Amino acid sequence: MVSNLKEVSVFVILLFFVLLASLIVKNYRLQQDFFEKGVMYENEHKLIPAVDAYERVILAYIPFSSYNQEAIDKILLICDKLNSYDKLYCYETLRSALFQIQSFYQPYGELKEKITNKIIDLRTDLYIADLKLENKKEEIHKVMEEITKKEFNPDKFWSFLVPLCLIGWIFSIMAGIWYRKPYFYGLGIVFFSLWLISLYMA
Amino acid sequence: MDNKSFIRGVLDALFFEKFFLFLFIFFIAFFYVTFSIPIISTGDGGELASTGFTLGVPHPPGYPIYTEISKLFTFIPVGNIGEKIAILSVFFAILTIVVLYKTVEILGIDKKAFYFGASLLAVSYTYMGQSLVIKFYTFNLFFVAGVFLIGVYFVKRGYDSRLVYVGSFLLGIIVSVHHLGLLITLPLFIVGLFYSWRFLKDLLKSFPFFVIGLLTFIHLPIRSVKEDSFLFTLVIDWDYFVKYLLRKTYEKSTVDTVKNLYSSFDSYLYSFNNVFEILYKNFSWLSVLLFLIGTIFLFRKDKKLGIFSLTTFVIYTFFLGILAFKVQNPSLNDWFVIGHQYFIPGLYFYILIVIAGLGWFYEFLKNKNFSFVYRVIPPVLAVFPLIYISDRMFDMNYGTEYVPYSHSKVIFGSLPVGSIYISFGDNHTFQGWYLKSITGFRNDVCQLKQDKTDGISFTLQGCRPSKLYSKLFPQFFKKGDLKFYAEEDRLYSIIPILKNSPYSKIYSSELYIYSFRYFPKQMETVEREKLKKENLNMENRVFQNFIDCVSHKVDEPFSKYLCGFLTEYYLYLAKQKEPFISVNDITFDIKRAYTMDYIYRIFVNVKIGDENFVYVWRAKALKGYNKPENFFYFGENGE
Repeated sequence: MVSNLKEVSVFVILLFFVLLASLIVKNYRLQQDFFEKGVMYENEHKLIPAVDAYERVILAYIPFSSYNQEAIDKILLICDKLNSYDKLYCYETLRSALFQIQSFYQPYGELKEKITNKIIDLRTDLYIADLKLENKKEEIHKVMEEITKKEFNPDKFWSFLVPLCLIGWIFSIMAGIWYRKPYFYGLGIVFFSLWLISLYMA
Repeated sequence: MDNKSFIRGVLDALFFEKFFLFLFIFFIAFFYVTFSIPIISTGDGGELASTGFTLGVPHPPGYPIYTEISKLFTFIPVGNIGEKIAILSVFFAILTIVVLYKTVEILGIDKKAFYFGASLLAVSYTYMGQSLVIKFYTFNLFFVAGVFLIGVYFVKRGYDSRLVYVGSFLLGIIVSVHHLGLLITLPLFIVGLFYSWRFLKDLLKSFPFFVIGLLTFIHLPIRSVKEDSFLFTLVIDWDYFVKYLLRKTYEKSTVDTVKNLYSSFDSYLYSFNNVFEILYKNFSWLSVLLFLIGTIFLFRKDKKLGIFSLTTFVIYTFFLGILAFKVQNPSLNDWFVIGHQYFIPGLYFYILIVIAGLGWFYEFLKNKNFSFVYRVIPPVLAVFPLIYISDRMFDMNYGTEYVPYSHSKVIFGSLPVGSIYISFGDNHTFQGWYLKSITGFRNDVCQLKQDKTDGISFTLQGCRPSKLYSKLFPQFFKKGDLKFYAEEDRLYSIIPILKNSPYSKIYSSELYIYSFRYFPKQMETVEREKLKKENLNMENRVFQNFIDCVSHKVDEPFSKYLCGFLTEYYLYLAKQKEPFISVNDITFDIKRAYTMDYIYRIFVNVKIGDENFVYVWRAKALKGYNKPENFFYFGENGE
């Protein structure tokens, strides 16, 4: 039984690494492909399609890949060239792409903060210009800031604990039943309590 | 042969067997990842990615385990949120194949037969399709297959009360994975009856373990009170909690579905016909023979195992068909939502019996000393089903599927700052939630979800937290007033206003790229001209979506439906730029069905000239490439 469990664990870990390696290969191809497309669109002066293509380079994020930074730089250069709603679209695209590539950490966190501030200003200016509300600039800026900065993003540490504790208490109960040892039930209760706490804290 | 070399021989054989198994499994893993969705999939995909990332609460019954495990996958340091959650489906699809291997081993079937069955299953249309998208069906299948394996252990190794308790506990867990998983209870119960009183006594004793399994649902009330979790709805009071678990919030709850069991004889025949169509289209006629041999083989091997395997197969195919799929002529939606999703366990158990059939054939070869044939045929048959990969490259290549994401980006990206956008149906709503609320793209927009076309009522998931949005949309939050936003060019909806629309007395609507701008009746012609100008300026915004719509290689009716919106937009451009005189013209039939009695249908006749040729060409290309009715299961009927 124990050797079986060992075998299964080794297999699951190996499978995970195969999936990870496959994901890297897939994303690297995507990065190459969309970067080339981005350059092509830029040369054809199709700036918005170029932003969309570079966005996909970022979405296929691989740590330490040179394409990440190059795509970000390209988008930032294009954003500078655009005006009004196109400029907003450009920055929004970059910010949402950066948000989507987070894992244990947020890559390019500082840049994301900087862009968020630009987006707040742009949203405020466009809203005021559209509705002719020049006298309410400060009030609107504050509302835009609150909304733009709102993120549905649970705490990383606690939300990582949640699934681990869930797996922990499920396996402990099963081990308790199988080996008929109260020790496992105790462990199950510990994991279950931790699961509840982390669910609430996340 | 001396002892040492004998042992070495056995070790080599074992190593080779395992090495081959690993190679086979890892090949499928690589193949699946390459073909998996790069961002979000249609249907529930956007919602499950949103709730998975935020440890939130998806639609009833809430799927807490799927939600929490998908959160674990978002910690992978490569790719984006949607892509990582899709890997969960791949991961469990692969593990299910490993469980299949283990089941074949314990059943005592020749393991060489496993490779043929597993290849056939892995490249089958539905199994592969559900393994590549953000959905819980392979996750659910893994648990069902696991519990089935426990049942096989139970029969094969003799009565063991621990297996009853573990099974009961896992059944509790399964309820929170997917309600269809619970169907495995019936075959397990039948097998248990072979052990009569002992089993019934242990069954009673095992009930607390079932209840402990259900504790996973505590996720729902706890996460409902958290501001950082994205919620389909709040589940905080007990009555609603129970309703949510039983899916009573839907028109047809799980309980109603079970009541639906008693029906006319005809409907049983329809169900049989539909299920048979699924099996036939996935595995072809040839497999039926092996299935029949396999059934006999399993019964001859062990009556109890035969009964258990066949009952499980029947429960997950024909019985499930009676519960959920007994319509005479299933619609495209029925095939896609029910046929293509619910029957994965049925496919799995069918393949298990097919493997048994082939195993019998291999045993026959071995026993008759056809050693050369026995050595040559299994490897050939193991790779033979992989020829279907060429089919899957053009109908299941989700790696090329960006339509749902780019479609939503066009809609949100083109709205004025501080707009209200009314979405309808899972596709527009769930994708919108992911893009707007989770990634933060244009989260200045308040997205309202409208569920019916005959009334004006909304749910506000896409406009939360209300304490923030009420500051930007005070008229809506305090007075429920939408007219104010219509007057300010800030009210948009994916639903056009038709004669039978409840909005028709106050508003009218005009096409704005893919959606419609609502404006008060008295709006001037100048405003219409302004809208026309804005529409003409958005050509660049839809370009990437156009490329996605003509380059995806997936047989996905929902995506194709979304591409229809782009066809309409290009026709609008073609119409605006049409030449004064032309001898060539073309008529397009544009149809959007929201509900049975709310159908938007227009015939657009366009004169073709140099000025608008490119738009007409693109509209034709889109329409030709994206015919939802050509769906795999629906093809013949559709045509």
